Amino acid sequence: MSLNSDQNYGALWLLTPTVLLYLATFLFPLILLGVLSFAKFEASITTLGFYFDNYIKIFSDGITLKIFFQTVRLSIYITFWCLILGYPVALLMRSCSPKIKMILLFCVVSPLLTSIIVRNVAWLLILGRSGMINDTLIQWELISKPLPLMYNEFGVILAVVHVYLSFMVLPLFGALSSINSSIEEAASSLGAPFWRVFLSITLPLSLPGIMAGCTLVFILSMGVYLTPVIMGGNFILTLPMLITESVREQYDWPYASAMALMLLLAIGFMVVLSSGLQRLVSRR
Amino acid sequence: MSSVELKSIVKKYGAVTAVASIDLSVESGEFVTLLGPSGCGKTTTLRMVAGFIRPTSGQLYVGGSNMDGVPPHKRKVGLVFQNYALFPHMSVQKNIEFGLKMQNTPFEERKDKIIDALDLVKLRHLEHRMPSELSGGQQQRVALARALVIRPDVLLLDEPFGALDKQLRDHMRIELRELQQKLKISTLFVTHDQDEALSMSDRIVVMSEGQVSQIGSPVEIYEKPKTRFVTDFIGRSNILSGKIETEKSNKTCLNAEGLKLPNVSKTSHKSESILVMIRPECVLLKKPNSKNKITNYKNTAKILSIIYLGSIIQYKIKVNNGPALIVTESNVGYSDPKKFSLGDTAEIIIPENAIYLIPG
Ligand SMILES: Nc1ncnc2c1ncn2[C@@H]1O[C@H](COP(=O)(O)OP(=O)(O)O)[C@@H](O)[C@H]1O
Ligand SMILES: [Mg+2]
Repeated sequence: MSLNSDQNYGALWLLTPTVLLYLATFLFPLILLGVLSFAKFEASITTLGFYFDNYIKIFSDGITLKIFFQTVRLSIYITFWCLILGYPVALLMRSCSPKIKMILLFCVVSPLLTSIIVRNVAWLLILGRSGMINDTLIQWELISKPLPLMYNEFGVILAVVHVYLSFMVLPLFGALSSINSSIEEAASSLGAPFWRVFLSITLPLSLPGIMAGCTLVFILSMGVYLTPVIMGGNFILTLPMLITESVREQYDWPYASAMALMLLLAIGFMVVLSSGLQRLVSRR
Repeated sequence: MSSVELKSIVKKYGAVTAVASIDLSVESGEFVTLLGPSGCGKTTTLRMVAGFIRPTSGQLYVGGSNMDGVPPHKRKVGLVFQNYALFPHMSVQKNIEFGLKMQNTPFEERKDKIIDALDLVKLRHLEHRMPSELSGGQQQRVALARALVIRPDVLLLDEPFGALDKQLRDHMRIELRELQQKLKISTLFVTHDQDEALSMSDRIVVMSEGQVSQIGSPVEIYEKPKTRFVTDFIGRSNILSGKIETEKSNKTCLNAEGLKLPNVSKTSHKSESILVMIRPECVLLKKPNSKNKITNYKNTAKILSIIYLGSIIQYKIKVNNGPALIVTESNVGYSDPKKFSLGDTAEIIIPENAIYLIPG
């Protein structure tokens, strides 16, 4: 026993590079962010100190808070659609043969293998005013003027869901695969039709996967930047866009830092909430 | 009316034949065991009865009605798995209640039935526990209660005690059989363990490579096996090839690889080659000087090995000018365990009724 734990401590040294990397790329910038967020920015001059000006601005300028909640709402929509579209895929992957499983897995992951620019240009060609869909529909005279498929919330959600679906499907598939199918067969032999088996057994037992997937997709969606820029035109504003603008156009690092910390807090809150829920569910 | 009836049921997976034409029935209140080595098609057969696998051909009846195209949830079968398959997110009580809810049993009736089922498996005090808080034996009892509470036409069990330790397995065996007889519920039980099959069943169906080798009571299966496979599979036996020979006294005798035995067969065809089965527990070993005269056929043997197994002692002996045999002797307190030591010579006595000729 003691020998074993000695060995474990010895192995901890192997973590050194990871820890250093973590300190350099995460903790240090985070501290910097914290310090900057309390600085003052006046007439293009940053004064370090302990001012609440930036935080007061977030809550009082009327637009930042609105965009923050818009970002939250967008992320909730994205998470919701990922779940709705991803669950059947995960279910299918669980029940099909290994070969088809690999094909499905590749399809789900493939957006991640494509460059974000290529992907968005492809969406432009498909969804744009004179894109494939609108062209075809107009040619068939089903519509007289192009449908607004892009430069709105729909376009952004569609493009983001397309990429983040994999982050939903993989945890769901993991959770579903860990359910022993004889549990479902037992329910079925006790008189439960398939939908009842799904609602009473499969769905509740896959809850950990649902929560993991939703948390992951939500966090990623809160930070999404480039896709809304391309797919939303200038009609959809998200907090990351605001942060970038503040840095690149106004050189207002302190305000950008304060907004970034707010985003981080919101995400941290989500993580705590979901792990709390998870513990509640597993204790039941 | 039979509770379950299989008529020439076949199941093929592409080129693989998992079950090759099985006929069997479970009469009302009967305990039938499917016994056979791993991979012989027991689980496939059971799952066809439960409705999870569709037979390639043949007819299947449960509770008198044809099950063709009937989905699992519409068959009245109670299923018990080796891994228990309890609903991990439901308490013991909720697990048992599930089937009753599916039958739309009213609340008050449900409560009574749950209590009855829990009493039946002696788990009343654990009603509110979660499955993860139960031992393996307790989980298996909950699974049993859950399957029984819906009053199925037939109870199906697939190696239900495989995951339990030996002592608990022996205990559950007795408990299940008592329960089954009390409720008079038709049961189809799957196992590869011959002790389980012999001790619990009304009838045993011995299976081999997707086919039925023999159907019979435990006594018939053990004492009158019909094929070499059944003989080999059930119990430990000495199987020798034998010939009928004529002795000097003009009487016929049975020569089993050099072991002279009385001719217990009705025929005296000399050319016939037969299989002779001798159960190890039927052979008596005596000190050579003892004056016992049970049979004229005196064979002596040398002790090759002695294995002490507690309740029995197992010898491996080599008959002089004959075959090697396994012999077991029960370790009754008064017999001296050191009666023989390695290399000793013993006189072996094989009573006529201990010699069994395998037909075919
Ligand atoms: N889904 C399947 N596909 C192909 N072969 C199968 C399948 N299920 C079972 N088999 C084959 O059928 C035979 C019987 O299997 P099974 O009924 O599980 O045996 P047992 O329960 O007696 O150990 C085995 O040889 C097995 O390989
Ligand atoms: Mg099996």
